[in-house]
Amino acid sequence: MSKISQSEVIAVIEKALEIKPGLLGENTRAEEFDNWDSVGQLSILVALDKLFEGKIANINEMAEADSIPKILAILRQHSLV
Amino acid sequence: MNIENQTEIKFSLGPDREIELAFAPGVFTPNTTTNLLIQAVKNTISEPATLLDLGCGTGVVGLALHFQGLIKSPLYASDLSKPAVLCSRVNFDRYECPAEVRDGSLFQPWAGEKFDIIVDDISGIAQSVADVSPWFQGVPCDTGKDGVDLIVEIIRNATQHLNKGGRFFFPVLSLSNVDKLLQVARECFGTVERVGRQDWPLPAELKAHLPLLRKLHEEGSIKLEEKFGMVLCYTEVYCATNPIY
Repeated sequence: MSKISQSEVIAVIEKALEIKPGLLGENTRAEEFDNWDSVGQLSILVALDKLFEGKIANINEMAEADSIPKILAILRQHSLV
Repeated sequence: MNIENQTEIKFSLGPDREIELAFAPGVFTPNTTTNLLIQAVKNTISEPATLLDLGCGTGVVGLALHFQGLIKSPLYASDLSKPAVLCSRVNFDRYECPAEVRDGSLFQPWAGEKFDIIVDDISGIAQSVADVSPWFQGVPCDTGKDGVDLIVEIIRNATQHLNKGGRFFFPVLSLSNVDKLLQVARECFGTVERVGRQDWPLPAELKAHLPLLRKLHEEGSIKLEEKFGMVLCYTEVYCATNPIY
C-alpha cells in the first residue's frame, strides 16, 4: 500500500464527521466541533480503518486521539503517513 | 400549562436544524437512539400516515416527522410519565403540530385504536446495567434481567394496533438481549427488517462497571465488542410488518 497523505487523512475525517471539506486543519481539536463527540470519534476510527485497510482497529491509543495533531502523530509512529 | 422545574434543552435534527424543547425531571433525554429512530422512519415512509409515538418523552420523534410532512394530523402520542405528557404537549403547541397526547403505560391509553405507523420510542437495557447507568435518573426502567420485558410486551401488543399494511418501528440496544427480542418479533410479525444501526462507545460512566458488563456479555444478556481500544455497543432499529394474529 502506498503512503497516504495528511490531507487525505483530514479529508476522510471531515467526511466521517459530516463536516464541510476544508473546515478541519492540521491543528484542529475535537472540542471545536459538536460532531466530534464519542460517536464522532468512533466514526473517524471506522473511516480511518477502512482507509488504512484494517490497520487502525488494533491501535488502542487511537481511541483517545481527540485532535488532528494526535491522530497524525499516531499514524506517523506506525509509519502509515 | 405549569410544569414543575421545567427547563429547555436543544436537540439537533441534522446539520441545519436545531430545536428547543421543553424538558423536566422524569422525562427521558433524547439521545442517539432517538436520532436513529427518526432517521429510520424518515427513510422508510414516504407519505403522511396516522402515527402513534409510544413513549413520546419530549415528543421530539413525532415533531421531527411532523416537520418532514409525514404525519396525517393529528399526531398520537403517549407516555407513562406525566411530566413527559405535559412537556410534549408544550412542544407540540410550540411547533404547531396538532397532537392528541395521552398518559398511560404502553398501549393502555390506546385500547381498540389502530394506526398506520407505530414508533416505539421505549428501549430497554438489562436491569443491572440500568441501575448503574446515567440514563434513567427519575425515569421508569423496569425492563427485567436482560432488558427485554417491556419491549416484548410492546411487540406482542403492537400487532393489535396496526392498520392493514401498517408498520411498527422499534429500537434494540445491544445492552439488552437482542436475540431474544428479535425472536419474539419474528414470532409476531411476518417481516422484520433492520432499517438502521449506530455503533457507539460505552459511555465513561459505564466503563467503571466493565466487569459486570463482561459477565452479562458472557451470559448472553447483552452484546459487547472491543475494537479501536474502545468497548462498543450498538443500537439497531427494526421495521416489522405483516402481523401474525
